[in-house]
Amino acid sequence: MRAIAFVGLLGLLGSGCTYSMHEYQAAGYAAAPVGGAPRQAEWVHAHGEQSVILGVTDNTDYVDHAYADLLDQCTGEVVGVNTRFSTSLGFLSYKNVVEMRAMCLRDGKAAK
Amino acid sequence: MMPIHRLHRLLPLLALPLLAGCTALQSVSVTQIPTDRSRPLRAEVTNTALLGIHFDNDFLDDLTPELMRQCPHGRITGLLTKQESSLYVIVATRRVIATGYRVYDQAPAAPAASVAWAAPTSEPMSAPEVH
Repeated sequence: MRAIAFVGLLGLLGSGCTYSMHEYQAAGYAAAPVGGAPRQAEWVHAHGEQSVILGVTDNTDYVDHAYADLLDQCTGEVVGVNTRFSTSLGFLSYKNVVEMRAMCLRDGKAAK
Repeated sequence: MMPIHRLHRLLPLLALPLLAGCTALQSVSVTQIPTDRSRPLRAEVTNTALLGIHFDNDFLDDLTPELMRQCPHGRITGLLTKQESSLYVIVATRRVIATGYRVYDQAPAAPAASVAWAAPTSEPMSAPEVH
């Protein structure tokens, strides 16, 4: 009975029921002025995550991957970059998540 | 339930994370990204200390001059800045990495009046008359 209670308590404490938001940043809303036709804004979204077991990890490359993904989705100017960094806890593990939402400015002709 | 005196066999397993390097992201930020991405730049500063005891934060002061050195005349944008910390047993390292792009904006055409006023002359320059 004790063993069951111990395992149950451990499972309760270690289960994924906790989420923490570390940082949210919104920046870069001033688009560079260009001549010609008005540009079309379109939302783009990049996501990077890293699963960590027992706290062992040696890099933060998932952030670079999210940034590269954001660049790949837009060949034009990217403005209004909203960056979110959070962690969700799991059983003896956690998951770091970085999300980037931004507006891609495409040429008016290219957007149609 | 496992007897207490057998738990010590699990200690090496529990200590394994302490022996491995643990890196954590502390902060991330991104500024707006230019269309012209042909001139990337990168700067990094680190600070290592035993037992995680740091005596100052002056290592950050080198980051901005390094970025400016790589782009003395243009504009730096699309800047991805990461602050991370690593712990290796008793050695802690703080690291800030900035990657971005150099952009050279075209200089706007100067108004004709200011061009005329800035023309080189051997006489002492006087302020233009305003009517």
